[in-house]
Amino acid sequence: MNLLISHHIVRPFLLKNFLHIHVLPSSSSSVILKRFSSSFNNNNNKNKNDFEKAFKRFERDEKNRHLNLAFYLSSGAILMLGLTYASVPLYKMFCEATGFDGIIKKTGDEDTVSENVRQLSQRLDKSHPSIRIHFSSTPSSLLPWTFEPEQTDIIIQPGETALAFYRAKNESNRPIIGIATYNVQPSQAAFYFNKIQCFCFEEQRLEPDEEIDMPVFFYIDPDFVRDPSLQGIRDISLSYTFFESKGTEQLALMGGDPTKINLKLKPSEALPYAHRQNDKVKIVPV
Amino acid sequence: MTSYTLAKKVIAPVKPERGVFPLDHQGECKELMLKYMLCLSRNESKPSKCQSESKEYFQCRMDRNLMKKHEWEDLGYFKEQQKKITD
Repeated sequence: MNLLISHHIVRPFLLKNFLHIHVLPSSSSSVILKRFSSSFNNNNNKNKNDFEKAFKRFERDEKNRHLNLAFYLSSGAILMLGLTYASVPLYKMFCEATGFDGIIKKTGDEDTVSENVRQLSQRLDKSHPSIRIHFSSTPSSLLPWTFEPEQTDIIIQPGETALAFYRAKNESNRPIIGIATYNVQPSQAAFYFNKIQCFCFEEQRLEPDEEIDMPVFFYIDPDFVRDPSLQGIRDISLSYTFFESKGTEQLALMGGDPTKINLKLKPSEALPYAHRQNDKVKIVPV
Repeated sequence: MTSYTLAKKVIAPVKPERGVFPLDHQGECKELMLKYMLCLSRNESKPSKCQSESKEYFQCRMDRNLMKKHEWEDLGYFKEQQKKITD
């Protein structure tokens, strides 16, 4: 390809100055011979045997030129394809190392956690600004739970550990297993948001009409004040969402009793907003 | 977590450092939780002023095996810090 392009560009100049040489779009033997003889003469070697050997080698190289080019280009394409597959774990590693775009910092084991918390007292500084943490919860239409934060916000300093509570109640008449996820906004602040213990990412099972308090224990890393992109940020928002654990509806219905395997959800109970049907007025027969 | 800004990237969640609090199904520590909430509402929602109440809550949890036993320093309660707050 490049050969073609270069030929088309170069041809007008060549025709003007070197009218006796025809430039062909593909290598032919005459061209090979001409190019070889020019390079051979430069080496000043007039021996006939060497000439033949060298010529054969040169001819093979010339003929393989296009093939070599094709190999190089196809290997480049395969390399790019491999990079696209590798980019997913590479990006994940990059995000965890730098906390880019809201990824929480990767945490170590129990000893490092304790060590980090102990060192907080030295890094704590009264001059650090107070930060207001807002708590919110997202209700899920498919999950018949009421899930609310116990407090709307708290005010802490970076480096202080804080305890906060959420309350969840199972409004339906079947046991449900739920899983919670959380989100921290602004996304750059998520890197400094260290959650020591909470109730997220593990299945939590609630019996019908059971109400439970769920604590969240966290702190904000004191390096927060030294981040230039977070200058002037005094509000952080933490929001939780609960989902029903997929595939465990049957398990929850069974309640650990293997004989109840034929229990099924009624279609009216499986619909979204099924838990709000209780608000309908019931007609009592007189 | 799932910010559909540039592309559909689903970010795998990172677990909390010490894992999950076991659920308090019997509500054994509920009164202490309510005491802590009252304290917060009296102190302009500043947990630094309610350290004794939160310590009581953690103590309740640790006693009833709802939480692994930790030293107070591991939970971020330092004696110097308490002196600072009471000043």
